[in-house]
Amino acid sequence: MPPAWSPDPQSEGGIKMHTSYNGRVLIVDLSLNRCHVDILPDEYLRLYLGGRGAAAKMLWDLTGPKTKPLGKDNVIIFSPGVLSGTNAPTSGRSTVTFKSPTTGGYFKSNVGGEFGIGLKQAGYDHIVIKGRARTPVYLTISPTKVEIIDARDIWGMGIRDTNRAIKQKQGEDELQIACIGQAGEGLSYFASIMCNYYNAAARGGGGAVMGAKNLKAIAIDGEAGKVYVTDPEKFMEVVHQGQDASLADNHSKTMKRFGTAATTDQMCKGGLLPTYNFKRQWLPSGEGNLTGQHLIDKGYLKRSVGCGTCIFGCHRYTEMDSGKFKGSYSEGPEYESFAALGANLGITDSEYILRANELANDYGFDVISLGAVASFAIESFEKGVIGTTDTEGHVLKWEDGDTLLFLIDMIVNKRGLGDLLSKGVKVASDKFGKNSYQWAVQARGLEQSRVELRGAFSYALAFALNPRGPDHLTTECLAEFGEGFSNKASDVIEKITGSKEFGKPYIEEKRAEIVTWHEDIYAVTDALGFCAFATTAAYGIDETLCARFLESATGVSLSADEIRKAGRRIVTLERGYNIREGWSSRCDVLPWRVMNETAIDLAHKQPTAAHMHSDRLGRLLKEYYLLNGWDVSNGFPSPRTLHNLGLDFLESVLAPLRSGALKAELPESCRTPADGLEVRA
Amino acid sequence: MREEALRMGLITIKTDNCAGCKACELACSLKHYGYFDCTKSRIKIIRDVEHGSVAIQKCIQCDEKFCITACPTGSLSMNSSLSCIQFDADLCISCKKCFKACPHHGVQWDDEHGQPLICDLCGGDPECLKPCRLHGALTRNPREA
Repeated sequence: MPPAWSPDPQSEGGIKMHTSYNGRVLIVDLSLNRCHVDILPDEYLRLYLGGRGAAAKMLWDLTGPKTKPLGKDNVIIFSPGVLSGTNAPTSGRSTVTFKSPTTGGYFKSNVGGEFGIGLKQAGYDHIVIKGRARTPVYLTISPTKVEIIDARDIWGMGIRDTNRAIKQKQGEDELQIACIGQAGEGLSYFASIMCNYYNAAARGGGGAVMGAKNLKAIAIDGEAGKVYVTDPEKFMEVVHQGQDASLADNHSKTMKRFGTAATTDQMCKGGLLPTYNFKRQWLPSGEGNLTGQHLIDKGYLKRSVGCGTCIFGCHRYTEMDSGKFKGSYSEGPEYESFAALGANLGITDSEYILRANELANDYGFDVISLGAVASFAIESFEKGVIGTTDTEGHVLKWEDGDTLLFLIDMIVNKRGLGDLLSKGVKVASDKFGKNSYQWAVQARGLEQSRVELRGAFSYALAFALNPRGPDHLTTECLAEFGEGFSNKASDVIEKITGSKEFGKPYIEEKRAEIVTWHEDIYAVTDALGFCAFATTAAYGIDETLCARFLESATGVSLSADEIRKAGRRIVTLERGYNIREGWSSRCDVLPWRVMNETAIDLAHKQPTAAHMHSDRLGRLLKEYYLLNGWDVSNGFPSPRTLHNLGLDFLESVLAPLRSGALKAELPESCRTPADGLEVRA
Repeated sequence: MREEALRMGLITIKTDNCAGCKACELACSLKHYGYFDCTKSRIKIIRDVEHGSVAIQKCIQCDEKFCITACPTGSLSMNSSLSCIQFDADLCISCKKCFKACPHHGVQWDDEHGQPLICDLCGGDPECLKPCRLHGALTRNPREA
């Protein structure tokens, strides 16, 4: 057993008083059994705003095209926000950054709970995990000590058992634990990292990266640690402003009362709920079962739960007191769990959805991809691409909760087809062949989240550009719907475009401006540690307030424009990372089905949304490239753009790719038989 | 849901409404110390995250004043204008008797300074209520407002 390691405040760089961000990085090398502390250069805070931004820079420096996502050279970086550990509203969130086994590119996954707050209290702004332990281990971190501890006896456990076992072994109840379950140990490409039991850094296979490192968990005991801000009085004033701004919108009340699944039934009626693997936007019946109201009516909801310092409390803690799965308990289901594990499969029996959600949370699966894989398997079965010989004699059916539970069991235990399915729909469809790419609803290797893009063009553009794949958790442009969403959203559209007129779906104008603003603010949100609900759903905390928070917490004074520019810098750096991996405008696409099939709302017997065809997406992308100073021919940020953002170091890598002196291969995650559909701007 | 309201003094506590976000703890620490440290908070949120349960520990300004009775030096007394406990650090001998005497777990203990932490209602404008406006676990008692 390696000895405990304690940081030496003299040589390791002590905590500066009076700032909430010290650029203090705990580096743990699991191959060498060694830890040390690095201090990031001071300018990183001004340039990258810490958190997601500084982590993106570290990932750029520490990994590259030769890094295998599940090899020992990959790193995984845990980064609370700059404001995490303070009482800034919703500031308890963290970003986990790694090179993804799912996409082969840059990946960030954001997570709530209290893990990041614990890490800040323990005195660290980031943890970088390198190498691979010979046998399973877990890490404990406190303000005075770091230990790497044998985890062979807890390997194989689910999330809840792992939490209990570590708390018992450490003799301490107040631990903030991030861990993996059987999914991560089994290197599933959609294995999540679960923080404080139920908060998932879900997407991109971060759980598999931890599993490949033989790292079962990180447990933080930071309770007695202190977090400082530069100007406490001013900070408290800004906190009050942030609280008022976040609660000014009615959506905050809806979120508190019903959680993220507040409007699933209305989305269904409006033809906006993807169902049956995106074949329909409609359910025959039972959509009311997929809502927050239903959780209340059935008595499942026991408590509305918030992440650290959350002012909303959108999470649901639910239990089933009776029925088929009596005694089942977890947090959720969220909108995405209802949609992916329910509507997407035609399942409206909430008991099955709650049970599947509990299993996903305990095995440590990303519910979005898990549901997508299940629907892909069912459709493949329906089309005869796979048969009962592949499924242990089971007939895979839509609208059947038992099919879902069977598939989950097969995947977690890697029985039969389960091993292949655990790698996600891209890998499975490559193996299945036979046009299965047409119903593998993924792009760049990542399964799309349950958002209907075919009418919402800002969403479509943002999903196509998202460095991690088509989902809503890098940029969500709710304001696109203008007054249809909220008055504040309408105001934001006016701020971005000059007119409230542009706040409506089904139009192409000003989508590039809307997406760019949301990308910038989302990057700032993640870097500072805010929840996107506060910034780009309630539209409460904006760039001006972010600047006030940053200054009173760290002393770094940036204007609102400079805050946005820092967000743009982060987005551009992440783009640069993926270009180094061989990505280009060819990868800025959406799933085949979204681009080639028309969404049909059968309730109205007519198409409600045309498909997002490549001409339209091409036009949207071209506008975006031009607006942001990216080369229209290949989607590379131009040398001038890089220079303006202070990212000149990217140019030395991009230049040979730009000139054609170096040919980068299109990454595997982006290669599909449908490559002919590539978007040419 | 269970209705568990402690309607005493200025602050009403409804545990069932608590989302466990602990913004109150951090706000309390900032208000009284100028930095964030949950062990310096006069309000304590105890969570069982796995089973979704929460307990709130905080001085409820009870009638019995067990802490004042237990204090051998007179360091604790009533603030008559606010009806809350006030603390004189100069008289405290760190005996922890107040902490042990309170059956409501309303006295927290500051290990670093060897002192009790008892809600002083922030001089009438409690900081802990502000992040809790939507949750409604901590609200201003309408009778006192």
